[in-house]
Amino acid sequence: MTPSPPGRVRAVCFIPRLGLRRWINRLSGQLLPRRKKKGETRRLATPRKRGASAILLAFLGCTWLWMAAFCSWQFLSRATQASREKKEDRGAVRVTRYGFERIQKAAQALAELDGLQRPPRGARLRRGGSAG
Amino acid sequence: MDPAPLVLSIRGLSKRYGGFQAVSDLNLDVARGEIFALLGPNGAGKTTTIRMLMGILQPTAGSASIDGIDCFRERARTMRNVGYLPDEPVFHDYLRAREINRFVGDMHGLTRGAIDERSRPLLERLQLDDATEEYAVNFSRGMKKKLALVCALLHDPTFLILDEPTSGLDPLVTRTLLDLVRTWSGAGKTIFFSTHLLDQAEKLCHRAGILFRGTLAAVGTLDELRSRLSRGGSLEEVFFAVTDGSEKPESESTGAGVPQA
Repeated sequence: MTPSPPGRVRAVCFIPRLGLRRWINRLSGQLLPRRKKKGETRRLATPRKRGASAILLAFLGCTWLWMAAFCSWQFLSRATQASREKKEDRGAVRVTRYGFERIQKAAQALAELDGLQRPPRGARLRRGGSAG
Repeated sequence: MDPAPLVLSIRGLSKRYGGFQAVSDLNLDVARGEIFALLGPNGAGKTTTIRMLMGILQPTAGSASIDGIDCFRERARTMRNVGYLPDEPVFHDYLRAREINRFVGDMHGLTRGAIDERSRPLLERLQLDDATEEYAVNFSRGMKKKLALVCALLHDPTFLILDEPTSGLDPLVTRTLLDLVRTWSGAGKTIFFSTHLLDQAEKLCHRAGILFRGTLAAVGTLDELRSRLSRGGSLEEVFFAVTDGSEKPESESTGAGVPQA
């Protein structure tokens, strides 16, 4: 005798329950190690043929690694250069063009006044952008 | 003698895919307790016919009923009495064989106890009992077929539709399945199966129909077919006689005779 099937609501409820079961199985498969029964030999599927995809993947991996190494090297070399320049500029005072011209004029004025031909000692004058 | 009551009745069933006529004006009757084999070469329309009976495909024309229930209008009611084994069973991934059995049983309104009680002997007989905790998607084709067969039989249907039941099965399981089919037939179940393996049909069926290019080219008991088409030869000779085009399509004649009970 065939059994009576469930009602529509109950039948519809079975579907998300099945979906939940699949999700739990997928999650538990990823998180938990598979428990093996005593003497159990797991059925293994026939291994697939290795196509060109592995070679392509290896090529892409190598390219990616080379790009990463190249970018890192460039970044480090630029950082080193910037650090070196910064070290060389230590003690220098950055002034605006206007400030530079004023200092030059002041130095000329001082030279005229004192008969000196050099700018004051310890002050290195350099053309620059904005004031630091 | 009274004729056996009809279980399957197909009238003028046709299916057209664009310009291709897959099944053309099919008329067929199958009586209760009968084992009926639908034979035919590849692409003859066997699977299309079965898929239409299961409501998977909508026919272009015609009607079909199982136990008096319209296959297309009352699909859910039809499925209560029918067990269907597809040619290529497909299962969801991340579901164990046991969980699939439970889901099928739940959908048929069976209790957990009844599901276990019905599935266990079948799983043991089909040598699948040690694989119930494995994911069905990883099964081989034969194992999937066995699991699908268990699912098809879980609700104890009275009518079984088996699409190429032994394809992908090893000889041992094939023999078990053929024995099971005989047992089910003895228990009063009606079996309708498609195959292109003529020796199996010869061993198993009471009546056979030969489908050729979507048309039922011949139908009858094996003896009738032999005497009519190959003068007492084998079913293979009958098959070649029909598929060579020498036989007039059955649907053009009076049609599907049903044996007397």
